[in-house]
Parts: sequence; structure tokens; C-alpha cells
Amino acid sequence: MSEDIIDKIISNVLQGRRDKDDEGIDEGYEDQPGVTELVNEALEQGVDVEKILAEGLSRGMELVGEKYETGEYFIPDMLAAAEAVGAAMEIMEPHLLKKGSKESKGKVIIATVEKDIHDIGKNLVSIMLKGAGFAVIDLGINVPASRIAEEVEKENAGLVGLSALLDTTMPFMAKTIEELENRNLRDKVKVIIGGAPTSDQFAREIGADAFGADAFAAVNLAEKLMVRGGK
Amino acid sequence: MLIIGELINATRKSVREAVINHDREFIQDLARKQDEAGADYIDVNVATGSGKSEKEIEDMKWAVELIKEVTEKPLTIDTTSKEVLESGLKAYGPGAMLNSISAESGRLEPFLELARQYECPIIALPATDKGIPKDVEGRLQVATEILERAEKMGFAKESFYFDPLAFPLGVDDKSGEVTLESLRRFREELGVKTTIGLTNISHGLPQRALLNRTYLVLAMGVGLDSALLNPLDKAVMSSVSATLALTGQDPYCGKYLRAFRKGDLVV
Repeated sequence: MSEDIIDKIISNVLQGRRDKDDEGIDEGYEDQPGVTELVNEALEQGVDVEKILAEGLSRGMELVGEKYETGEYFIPDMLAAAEAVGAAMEIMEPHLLKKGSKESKGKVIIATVEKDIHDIGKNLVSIMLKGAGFAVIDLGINVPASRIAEEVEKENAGLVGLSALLDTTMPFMAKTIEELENRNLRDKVKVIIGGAPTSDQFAREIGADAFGADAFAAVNLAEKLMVRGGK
Repeated sequence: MLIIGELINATRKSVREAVINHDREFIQDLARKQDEAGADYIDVNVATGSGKSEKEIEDMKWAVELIKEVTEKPLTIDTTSKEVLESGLKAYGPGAMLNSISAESGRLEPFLELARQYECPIIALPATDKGIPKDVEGRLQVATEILERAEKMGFAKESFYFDPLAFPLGVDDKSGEVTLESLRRFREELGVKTTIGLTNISHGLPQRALLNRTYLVLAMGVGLDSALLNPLDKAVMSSVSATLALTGQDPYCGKYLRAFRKGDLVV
């Protein structure tokens, strides 16, 4: 019984169906329950909340990521899935709290660096990290290095994600890392970077831990650096 | 309809490599091809992702000088850095286009001073330090502010092409609509010319060429004056010819027929 509903959750995450009114990607889902309804149903059936999260929602998003990587899915497919999972997480949260489960896989601070106002990629990364179960604090755009470092300290974050879309603002990524060093925070927090002009090479040059080419790469890096201890 | 050829842009991998390796022939070839395909301006963006501004300043001078050798078409200096802009304008001389100014700190008056010095037409984006407003009202408000500040410096509105910024449809399914409405209102309420960076709209979606050329037709339908696009895309250029004829902008269908006789029209 619980396997059935977990499977349904996975397939509806893949369809990006938040509730029964959503059309989904393929035809033939009309009037069937979507992710939020299925999660409620599973909780009523007494399915373990951690199981719903790990084997249903998170597994569903992993599969969405795989389909994106192979080119079967596009960004809107991914956004619909992430939105469905986000809505389901709101239902799950009180149950996770009651059970004393860890609320998230860790705290991530994310920002577009100083003098840069591009936010499309950063927002996608933010949505995908939330969908994958991280607690994300999005500081927005045009965020000075000092502010990012302050928030890292205040929130005791395990990971910082920096975005820049311009050659002229990339140096502010380096400045942010320096700021973390100056405040003796650099050993306590991992730093990942992204944005069209950035690269693996640039990440190494400025002493970031890694570069992510897209939102799924960012999620994989977050898993690697925060959940699997760098493996 | 002013066509700005978008291909010499170092965010594209092949161009990035050509700029890094100073491959003159590659860049000159791209300029020549866009000129022959009907571009009115050739855009030049040499931001290779080095994160080093001295490099970009040198690369801009290098690129502008060698492109000038192979085309009479004016260039569009595409950068967010004042120093890179100055380097490009200096290398080109008067008449290049400035791509772009915005209401972000340091990107309005200082850029306009250079535009005055080098007699540039100017592309303006409705962005501030807080970002790009999501809605039409917000974009119109920023565009109005830019125009007022420019007029205060003595610029005429005829110098400007306002680009409302077409966000990728893939991340915002209302973007197409917001951009079209912004174009219409920029024209009607500010009385300025408009342009768009066309290919942004389709980013991340399949069959981008279909979205691009359909969107171009819709935008021309609300009076678009210019677009940054790939002029080597024959389908998109055919759509330009057809739409000019269909909107009364092609006397005796002359340009349309000329394109047909040259074998340039594709369905």
C-alpha cells in the first residue's frame, strides 16, 4: 500500500502536478490527485514522513534532474516539479518537526554578487535547492561581500552559492571569499559559484570549492559538499 | 527595421575561443557574413569570462580594429564597463552604437558622456540597482527616468532605442506578454524607438528558432524598430521581410521581392 502511494508521488512530481487541477506533462492525468493531495493521503495512511520525503519527493526530483540532464525535460518542466514539491513540503513541515527529523539537509546562503542584478539563474538554483530539501536563504541581487559574510556568520550556514553574469562583477566573487577569510569563516563554509561567464578554472583561481554549470549541478554539489562530506 | 547582428559575442563558446586565441580570421569572417546577410550594425561583445577588465579593454580594441577592416557597417559596442566601452568607441571613431546604458549606478551619465563624445545611438535597458522590474509599469517608470536624465544632459529621444528586456519564457511564462506590452507603451507614452535582444526569449526551450521568429513578428506588430538577432538565420530574416511588407513598411513590396529574387526567402 505505502509503495503504491510513494510511486504515485514520484510520478506526479515527474508530471509537475501540484494538485488535481494541473494538467501535467503527459495526457491522461485529469482529475487524479496531484502531489499535495497524495502527500496528505500518505500522511493519513500513516506512511512515515521521512519515507515520503526521501523515497517520494526527493527521489522524484532526482529523476526530474536526470531527465533534464538527458535533454528530455526543459526548465519549465523542472519548475513545475519544484513548485509541486515546494507546496508538498509546506504540508510536510509540521510532521517533520513533530517527529524531530532534521528539517533540512543544511543551510545555504545564496546571492548575486555586488553590482550585478541578474537573478534568473540564481532563482532557479534557489528553487532547486529548496526542492532538494535544503534550507535556502536567498539574499537577492547586488549583495556586497560584507553582507554575505555577515549572513553566513549569523545563520551559521554550511554553504554559500554565488552568482555573477558579468565579467565586470566576477571579481566580487573573489572579494566575497576574501571577506569570508578575513572573518575566519572560510573553513566553516563551502563556496560554490555559477553564472554564464564563470568556469571551473575561475572557481579554482579564486579559491571557491566548486563551479556549477546549471541548477542541477548546484544541487549535486550541495549534496556532495554538505550531505556526503565532499564525496 | 534596424538589424543588429548578434554573433560576435564572447559568451558563445566559439567566439570566446577566437577572442582568447586572437583568431583574426574567425572574427572577421563572422563580421563579413553578418554584413552580407543584411545586418545594419554588427554587435561586438568580448567578455570572455576572465574576470579581468584590462584584458577586456585590450580585446575590445583588437576586435573593433579588425572588424572595421572587413565591413563598412557600423558596430555596436556591447559591454557593461565604461572602460571597455571607451576602448571600443575610441578604436571605432564616431558613429558606433552604445549597447547599453541603464539606471544602474555608473551606467547612465558616464556612459552618456561617451555617447556624446562619439556621437552614438544608444540602447537603453530599464534596469536599476534593484534589478529589472517584473511588470510593465515598473519598466515604463525606469525607462521614463532614464529618458528624463538623458534629456537633462541635452540628448534628444531620437538617439535612443529602448529594450524592455525579453526574459526567457522558460522561467517566466508571462515574459512574452510583458515584453510586448512594454514595447507598445514605450513607443506610445515615451515616443521612443524600441529594440529587443530577440533570442533571450527562447533560452532553455526546444526549437528556439521557431519561438524567435514568431516573437519577432509579434514584436514588429506592435511597432518594434530594431532587433539584436542572428542575421544568418534565413528563416528569421525572411520573417523580417514578410512582416515589413505586411505592415505597410515596404513600398511596392520592393524589399520583399528583392529578397525573393536573390533567393533569400525561406518558408
